[in-house]
Amino acid sequence: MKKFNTMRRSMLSLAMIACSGSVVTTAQAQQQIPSKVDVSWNRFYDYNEMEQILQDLVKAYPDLLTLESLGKSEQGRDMWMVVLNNPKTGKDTEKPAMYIDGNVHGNEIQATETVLYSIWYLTKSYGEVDQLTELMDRVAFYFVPSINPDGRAHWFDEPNTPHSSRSGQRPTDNDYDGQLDEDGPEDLDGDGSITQMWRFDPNGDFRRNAKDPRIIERVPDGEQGELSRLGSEGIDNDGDGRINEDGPGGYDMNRNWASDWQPNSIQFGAGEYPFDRPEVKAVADFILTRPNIAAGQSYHNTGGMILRGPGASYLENLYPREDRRMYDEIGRAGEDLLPYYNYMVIHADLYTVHGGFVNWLAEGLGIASFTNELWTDRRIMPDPSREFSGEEEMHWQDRMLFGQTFTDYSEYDHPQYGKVLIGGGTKYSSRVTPPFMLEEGCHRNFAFTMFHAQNMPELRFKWAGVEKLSDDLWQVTVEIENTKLIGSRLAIAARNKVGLPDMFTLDGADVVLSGRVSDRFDQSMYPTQDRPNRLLIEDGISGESQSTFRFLVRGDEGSMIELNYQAEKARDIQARFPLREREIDLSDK
Amino acid sequence: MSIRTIHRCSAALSLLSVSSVLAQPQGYMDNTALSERLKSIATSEHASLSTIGESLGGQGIHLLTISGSDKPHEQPALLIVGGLDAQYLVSTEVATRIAEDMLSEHADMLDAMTIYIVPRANPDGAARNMRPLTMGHIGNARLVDEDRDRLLDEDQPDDLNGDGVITMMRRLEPSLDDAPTHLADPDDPRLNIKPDAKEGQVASFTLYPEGLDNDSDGRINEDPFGSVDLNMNFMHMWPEHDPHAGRYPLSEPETMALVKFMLEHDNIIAAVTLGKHDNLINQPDAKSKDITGRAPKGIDGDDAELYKQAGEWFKEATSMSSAEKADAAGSFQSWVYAQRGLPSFAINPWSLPEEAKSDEKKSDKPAEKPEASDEPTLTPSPIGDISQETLDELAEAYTNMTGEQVDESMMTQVTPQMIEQFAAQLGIEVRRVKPDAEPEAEVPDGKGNANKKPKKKLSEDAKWLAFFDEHGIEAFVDWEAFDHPTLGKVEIGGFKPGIKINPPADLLDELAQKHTAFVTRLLEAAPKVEVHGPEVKDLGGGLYEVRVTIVNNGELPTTTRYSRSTRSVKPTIVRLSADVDHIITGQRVDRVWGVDEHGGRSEHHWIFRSDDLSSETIEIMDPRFGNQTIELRN
Repeated sequence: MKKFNTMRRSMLSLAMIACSGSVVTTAQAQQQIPSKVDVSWNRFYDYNEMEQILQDLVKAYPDLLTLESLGKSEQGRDMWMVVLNNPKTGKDTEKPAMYIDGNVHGNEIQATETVLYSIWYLTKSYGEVDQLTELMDRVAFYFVPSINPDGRAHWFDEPNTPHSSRSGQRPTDNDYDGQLDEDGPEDLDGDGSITQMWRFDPNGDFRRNAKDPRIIERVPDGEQGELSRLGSEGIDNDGDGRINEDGPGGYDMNRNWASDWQPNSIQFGAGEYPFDRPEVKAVADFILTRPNIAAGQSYHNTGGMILRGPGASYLENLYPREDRRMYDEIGRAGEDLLPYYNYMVIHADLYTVHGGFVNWLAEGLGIASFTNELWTDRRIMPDPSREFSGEEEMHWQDRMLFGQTFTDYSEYDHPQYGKVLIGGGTKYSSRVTPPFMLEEGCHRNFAFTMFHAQNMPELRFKWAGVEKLSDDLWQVTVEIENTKLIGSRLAIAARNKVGLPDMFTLDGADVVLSGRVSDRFDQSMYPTQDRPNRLLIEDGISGESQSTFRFLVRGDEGSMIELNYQAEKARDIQARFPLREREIDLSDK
Repeated sequence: MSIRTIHRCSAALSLLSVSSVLAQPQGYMDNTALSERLKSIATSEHASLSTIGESLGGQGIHLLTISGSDKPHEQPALLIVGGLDAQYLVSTEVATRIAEDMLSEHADMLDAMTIYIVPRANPDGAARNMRPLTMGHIGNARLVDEDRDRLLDEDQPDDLNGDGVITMMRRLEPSLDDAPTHLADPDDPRLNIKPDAKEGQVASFTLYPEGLDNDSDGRINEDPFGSVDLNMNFMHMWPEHDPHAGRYPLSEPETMALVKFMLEHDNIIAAVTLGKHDNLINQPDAKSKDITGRAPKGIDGDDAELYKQAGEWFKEATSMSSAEKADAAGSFQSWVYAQRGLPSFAINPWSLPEEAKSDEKKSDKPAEKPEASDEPTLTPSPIGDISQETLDELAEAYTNMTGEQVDESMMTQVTPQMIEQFAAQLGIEVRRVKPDAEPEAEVPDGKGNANKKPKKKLSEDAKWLAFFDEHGIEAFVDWEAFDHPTLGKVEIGGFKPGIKINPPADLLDELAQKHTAFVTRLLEAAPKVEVHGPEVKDLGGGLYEVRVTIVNNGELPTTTRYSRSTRSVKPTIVRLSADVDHIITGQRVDRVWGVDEHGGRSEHHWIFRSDDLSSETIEIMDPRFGNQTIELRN
C-alpha cells in the first residue's frame, strides 16, 4: 500500500466532520439516524430488488460508495459489488479492506439482506457514529450481496424447497443419462413451494399424528403404519422411473475454490476444476487483485454458527497457533454478540469441506476469514439447549407465524404414484429467518463483522532511539506496534510464503546493517547485510504486539532520515526525524 | 571489467555467432521451425492443424489432428502431449515425428482411431531453451518472485563467457562465510565431486550458477526468469504454496488449454505424455493414497495390470530399461488418470543409452537402484549418522503434538543423543545411514587391474561424459578462468543445460521410430467394442424378453477400473424405448461405466410389454464408440 501522511488525514477528517454539521453525536441521535434510502428490514428482496437497493444506496451516498459488476453469472446476471471507501482518506487499495459476501448457495437468501443491511447501516452512520466513522476512514469494504444471482433469482421466482436452488444454474447431467436438467421438481399442489409427497401404504413406517395431522411421525415398533415417504414434490419428467433426479443445476459453488479443491468423486459439486463457474471466477479474479483484503466474511444459512477453517482434518496443522488464538478471540466475541450462535471449526464441528471459499481466503491468501451460518431455529424456543418436538414446532407455526410457512396436506392424483398426500414446510420454513426477526439478525451479524473489521491490522511507530556510535555511525532503534488482533501477516501466510513479506526501508542515510532485535535494550542482532536499507519481514507485525528493528547507518549529524514500513494488509506508515542522539516518542504523531 | 562491460561483451559475442556455434541445441526446432514443420505435415489429407489456445507469451499452442475419418472427433482418440516441460525439447521432436511416421507408415490404423498431438504445450518455455541463450529453463513465462524480495526476476543468469549457454562457476577462492563444498574429480578433473574424507580429499571451491549478483543482495541468480512449472499446475495433488505450482490450479493459459481440450473431447480414450515423467518403465505406485485417503497417489491397485501390460509393450517397442523418476504431484499425467479418469501413460523419451550404463572395465553389474528395491536408501542428515528420513518422521510427530513446525535453526542445536531420546519417547525407530563403505569393500578386482586401489564405481556424470566423448558430442564447456566482479577468481564451465535430456539431433529419427512403435501397439490394443444381439423372445400376450450384450475384444479396457468408481468418464447409455410402466424387468436407462478387455461383457436384459414390438428400439449412445439405434422385431 502507498504512503499516507498522518497529518493530512487528521485535517481531512476534521474538515469532513465540520461539513457534516454534527461534530457531537448524542445518545438520542444514535438511535434515530435516518438513511437517505428507506429499506424495510423485515422482508426479503429478490435479485431485481437487490439491484435497485444497491443503485439507490450508491446514488444517495456517492462520496462513499461505488458500484461495479464483477462479471456475469451463468445466465447473464450482473455480479454486483459495492466498494465502500472514503476517497478523502486514500484509495481503497491503500487501506486494509474487508471482503463480505453472501448467498453463494442460492437458497440461503437472508445472507443478501445481511450484506445490504451492512452497507445501509454504515452509510447512514458516516459522520454520525464516531466508531463507525473512524472505521470507515481507516479501512475499505468490498460487499457482494449475492455471489449466486441465478440461484437467488430461481429461488424467488420458482417453487422450491428450503434447501433447493443451492446450486448455480448451469445445466448439469446429474443422473448421467446424457440429458441436462431434464427431471426437476414440480409444484403439483400450486402452493408456490416444493413440499413433500407421501404414499398411502398400509405397510409404511409413518403415520399422521392423532392430535395434529400436520405432523407425520415414525410408527413405533409393532404398530400399524399408513404412509411411506416418496420424496419431494414432482413427476417423472424423463420417463426413467425416477422422480426429480436431475433438477436445475446440481453442483455446489462453495466447493469450487482453489485451496484443497478435490474432484466430484471426493467432494460433491466441486466442478471440473477450481473456478470453473463464472460466478466463482469473477469473485476470485477480483480478490486476487486486492492483496489489501485482510478480513473476509461469507454469509450462509443456517444453524447459528461462526465457522472458520480448515475444512479437512488433515489440514488442522496448517493453521498455526498464533492464528488460532486470533480466530478464537474474534470467534468468541461473536458468540457474545450472537446469542444461540456457536464458534466452530468446519471439519471438526460441522463436516468436511474441500475447496470452500473461506478456506481459500485463509489458506490460499492469508486472509482472516469466517463464514456465519445465519439463523438457528433454536431461537423459536425459550430454552435453546434442548431439542424441540414436532408439537412445539407447530405451536411456533401457529402462534408466532400464524401457519404461514406450512402447507397443509392435501390429496393429489399423481401420474406415477396414484393417490398421494402433498404438503409440509414451504420454502420459507426452517432455514429462512422469520421476517419479524430479520433486522435483529442482520444487525447482530453486522456488529460481529464490524468487530472483525475493526481488528484488521493497524501499524504505528511507537518509539525511536538514536544513538551515536562514532563520528558518522549511528544506531537507530525503532518500535512498531500493531494495536489490533489481526497481524500484518497471518502466521499461515508467513509460513507458507503467501503474499508479499512486509518491507521496512530507511532513506536519507547509508544503511550498513539492519535487523530485528528482541527489544530496545537488546544488544545483539542477527543483521542482514544484503540491501540493508530494505529489510524484508516475512512474519510481519503480529496482532496486539510490537516489534523492534535496528539500523546501523552512516550519515551526518542532523540529516533527516525517513522510515517507511510497508505491508500488504495494513496501511503503510512513515516517520521522519534527524540523526541526533535522543529518544523520540512517535506514538502520538 | 565492470558489470556493464561484461554484459556488452557477452551480448556482442552472442550476436556475432548466433547461427553457427551458438544455435542451441543444434538440430532442434524453435517455435518458427516447428510451425513450418507442422504446416507441412498438415498438407497430408489425413492431418489438420489448429490451436488449443495461446501461451502466456501469446504464442499459439498447436494441435495436430490425424485421422482417417472425416469426422475425427466422433471416433476413439489417443492424445499425445509433448513439450509441457520446457527443458524436454526432445519430447516435441519425438511427438512431431510420431505424426509423420503414423501418416507415412501406419495411415491404415487411423481409420478407426484419431490421434491428437500437441507437440509443444509450452512454447514460451521452449523458446527460453533455444538460441541465443540456453539456460535450462523449466516452466512457462509467468513471472515469479522466487526470492520473495518484492522484485520480479531481478537476478537472472548472465552468460559471462558469451558461449550461449548458462553453465556453472567454480569459486576458487571462497570467502570465509562461503565454505568450500566441492573439488575436481581426480579421475576426471572436469567433474565436481564432494570430498571423501577417507580418501583424504579436501574441498577447494564452491559452486554457483553462471551469473552476477544483479540485485546486489549477496546471492547469484536467485530470482531468474519465471516461472510456473506447468507440470505442477494441475489439480491432482496440486502442491499448493510451492512457488512454482502457480497461484491456483490451472492458473496458466497453457495448462487450462490442455484441460479444456480434454474436457471438450469425450472421444479421447487414453493419453500419452512425453516429458520428465515416466510410468511405463518405473511402474506407478498402486498402493498409496493421497492426502484425502480416497484417491490414489499413483494408480488404483485394480489398474496395476493395465500399467504392467503397457509397460511391457513400451519396453518391447523401445528397448529402454531405465528412466528418471520425477515427482508427479500436480502433473498433467496424474490429472488425466486420477481425475479425468483415463489411462495415462507418461514417457521420459530419452535416457543414457544402455551401452553407456555399465561401469568401465568392471565385470559385475553395479546394482541399479530400482532393482535393489526393498531396502530404501537413507539420506544423510547434518546430525551424526541419523537419517534425514528419521528426522522428518520426528518433525512430523512434533508438529502433530504441538501444532508447531520444527524451526530449521533448532536443528543446529540438536545432538544425536537428543534425537535418540526423543525418538524413544515417541516410539519411533531411529534409522541410521550406514557408512558409505560398501563399494570399496565388496568390489572384487576380478581382472587384476593395474590400479592398486579397488576400482571405484563410475559416477552417473562420468558415464555421461564418457558417452558424449565417445560420440564426439560437445556436451561440456571446459572450465575457463574468469574474473568475477563479486566472487573473484572463478572458472566457468560444466554440462550444457538440457544436454542429458535432449539427445544429439541425429539420434532423433531413430528414437521417434521406437516411440511410434509403442503408439501403434497402443492403437492395436485399443478397445474393440461390439454390440451383440438383440435376442428377442416372444413370451406371448404382448410380453417380450430382449437381451443385448456389449463386448470388448480389445486388449485395453474401455475405461480404467478406477474411473468406474469415480464416475469421471461419461458412461455408455443403453436406453429402451418402452414406457417405464411397461417394463417388468430391467432399467429403462442403463449406464455402462466400463467394459473389461479380452472379451469383457456388459449384459442388458429386459422383459416388457408392448403392443407393437416393431415400434420399440434400443438406443446405445457412447461418445467414444459411437451411437446406434437397434430396431426390435420378432
